[in-house]
Amino acid sequence: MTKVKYKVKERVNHLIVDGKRLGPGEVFEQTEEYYERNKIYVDPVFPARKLEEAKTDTKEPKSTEEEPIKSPAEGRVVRKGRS
Amino acid sequence: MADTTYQIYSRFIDPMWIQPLRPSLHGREIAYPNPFVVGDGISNINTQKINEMGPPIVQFAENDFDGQSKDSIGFTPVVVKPVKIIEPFKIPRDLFNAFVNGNNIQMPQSINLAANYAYSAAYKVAQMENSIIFNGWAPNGSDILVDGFLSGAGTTDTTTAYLFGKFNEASKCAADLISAVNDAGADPAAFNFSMNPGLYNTVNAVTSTAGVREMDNLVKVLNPAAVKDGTPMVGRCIKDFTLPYNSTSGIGSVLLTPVDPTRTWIELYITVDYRSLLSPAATLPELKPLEGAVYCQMAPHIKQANALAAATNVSKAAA
Repeated sequence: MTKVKYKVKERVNHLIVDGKRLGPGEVFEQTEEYYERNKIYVDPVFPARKLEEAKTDTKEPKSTEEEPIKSPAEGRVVRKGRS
Repeated sequence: MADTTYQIYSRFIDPMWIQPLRPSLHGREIAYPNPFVVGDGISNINTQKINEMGPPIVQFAENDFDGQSKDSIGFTPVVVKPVKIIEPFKIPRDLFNAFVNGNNIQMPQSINLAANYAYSAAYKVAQMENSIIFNGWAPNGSDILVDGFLSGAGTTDTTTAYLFGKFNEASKCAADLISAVNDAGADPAAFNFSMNPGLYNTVNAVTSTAGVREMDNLVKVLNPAAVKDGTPMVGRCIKDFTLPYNSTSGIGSVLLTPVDPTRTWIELYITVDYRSLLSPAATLPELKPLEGAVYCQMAPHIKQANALAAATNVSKAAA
């Protein structure tokens, strides 16, 4: 069964998970099905790799004079300054 | 501003549907309303969370304690925002006219149509009120904006599996949750145990091989003070549709709350109690439907979360 990392939400008081008493912000592993029953208490923690990807996606692309621009209408690659 | 005829009529029909509605208000069975916070227009309730004092001083009688440090109650400010729950409706004008005596709206002929509309709307409002008291309000399903007793419980056991179809499991679950409450430093004299009907009806049908009913056992577990010294059993099992339960998997959540008439641990703010409104259309009122609504404004308030406990891995299956 796939295990997923979860973090106890900040507004939650205490959770008992596998006999351990966890407070706000603590991270633990449980099954995927666990989330459906407990989504008001926990948030899933994304793997570090996915977080990095998410950060990269939000960055503005560097613009240069010769950067190719894709025409939205035809999907052709055109260059600035040319008809 | 003077009341319109329809506002007076709304007050006239209110008793016809509010009394039948009362048995549906399960959330109000587990917490008592604060009588001092009442009124339209209350949008924020600034209150204090009380942190208890430290241990007392113990000393022989002849010493004075001037040199010792004095304690005080700690306060943490808390803002509770009550929510308005509104169910609007429309009554066809010709139907409405047919149910009143020659357009004299003070003399309904037989069934009061407006009261029936109001009752039907109020039942939906009551279900939402129950849901907010038990589960809290999370418009997106996971991020709580108003804490209910389940979401704000001091301790929530999310993994221990309880199989309520088996004898002694529900009692064991209640006893474990009471232990969690006691471990957190609270010791109420009696508890209420709230379940979805899917779990409640399972527990209600379980009997031991010796003929002992599980429900009888469970109620005794919920009333430790009554069992100890013979006071009345005031803690009981509450059944409500809005408590979490997945009918496919048969798994749900249960909630343990203290019986708390003095509002030490939990309370409700009912700033506006159930009320109906009726209003004719602004133009050509005789030809257009009447608009109506039923609403109330309320919020649950957890003063000390350590007296509440919940379990979220409760199954109706027998072992």
